[in-house]
Amino acid sequence: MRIKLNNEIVEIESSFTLQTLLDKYQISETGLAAAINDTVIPHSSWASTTLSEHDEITLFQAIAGG
Amino acid sequence: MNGTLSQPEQLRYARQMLLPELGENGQLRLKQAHVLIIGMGGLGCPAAMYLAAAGVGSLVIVDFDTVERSNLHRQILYQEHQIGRNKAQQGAINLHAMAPDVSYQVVSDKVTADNVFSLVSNVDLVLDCTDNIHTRLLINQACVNLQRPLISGAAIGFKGQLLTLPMTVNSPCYQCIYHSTPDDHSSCLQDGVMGPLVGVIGSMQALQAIKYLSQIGSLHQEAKLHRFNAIDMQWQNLALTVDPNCPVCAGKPLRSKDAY
Repeated sequence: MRIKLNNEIVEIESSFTLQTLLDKYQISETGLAAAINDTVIPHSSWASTTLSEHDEITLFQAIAGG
Repeated sequence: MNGTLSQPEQLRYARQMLLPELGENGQLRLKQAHVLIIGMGGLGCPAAMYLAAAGVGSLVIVDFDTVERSNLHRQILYQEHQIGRNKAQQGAINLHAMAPDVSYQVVSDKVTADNVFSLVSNVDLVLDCTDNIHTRLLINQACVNLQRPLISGAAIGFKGQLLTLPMTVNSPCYQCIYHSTPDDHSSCLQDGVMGPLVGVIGSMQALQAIKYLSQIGSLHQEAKLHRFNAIDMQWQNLALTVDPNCPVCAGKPLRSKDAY
């Protein structure tokens, strides 16, 4: 199925969770936040959150500067 | 609403009191408010200037650092000849010249685990305008424990983030969003930052603070994260949820009390 990952369309298996997506793309979790369709998903739910067709995933980093 | 506004105050704040959402009641709420601004750099300068100009009654401004020449492209409260002065002390002097009715309390110490709780406990609202993750975590912890609303700004390069965390029952804290935090590798010192970008984020911290204090909109109920990309001028508005396993706020009164 197709989802959007940071605005780019990617093809994944329908069984994917947020966690398997991060593992597949080998994305470092340090300072990382993840949102599905503009709602931030807490880290403890990443492994249990199954992705759906057309989901828009945003991955972004904490910023400390100011 | 208790208190009154003097004739000069009526005139000074006339254009914002004209807004039906604010009005005289809102202005009086601002006058009675105590706000803590931690960090008087690129975010803290515009945030403090707008809050002082808007007539927030009492500002506690905190910074241990001194003004440097390389700060001046973004820390617009300071002047060339003020290089070398402490930012909180000099900031209060410059803010007083601009808005003398406001009461300023200067704290020129570093924020630590020892002083953060007393700083946060004495105010109605906290603005995190700091430049490092360690202090951000300390501030979040204190705001969670003391149930003080936190408006957190951050910027680097061309990217900005604005977090509004009311710290009411079942509203998330900073670490519900960022479960693990990066090392302090990325900073304005190393990576650079665009001046007007910190101006945008700092100004929006002031805007959120004014709305929160004068009870405009739904900030009391809703935690929000706004991300800004200054290159393509895109904002993303994100809803936030509590992490039931959050290392900071799980099991705290923030979750179990039913009254704010």
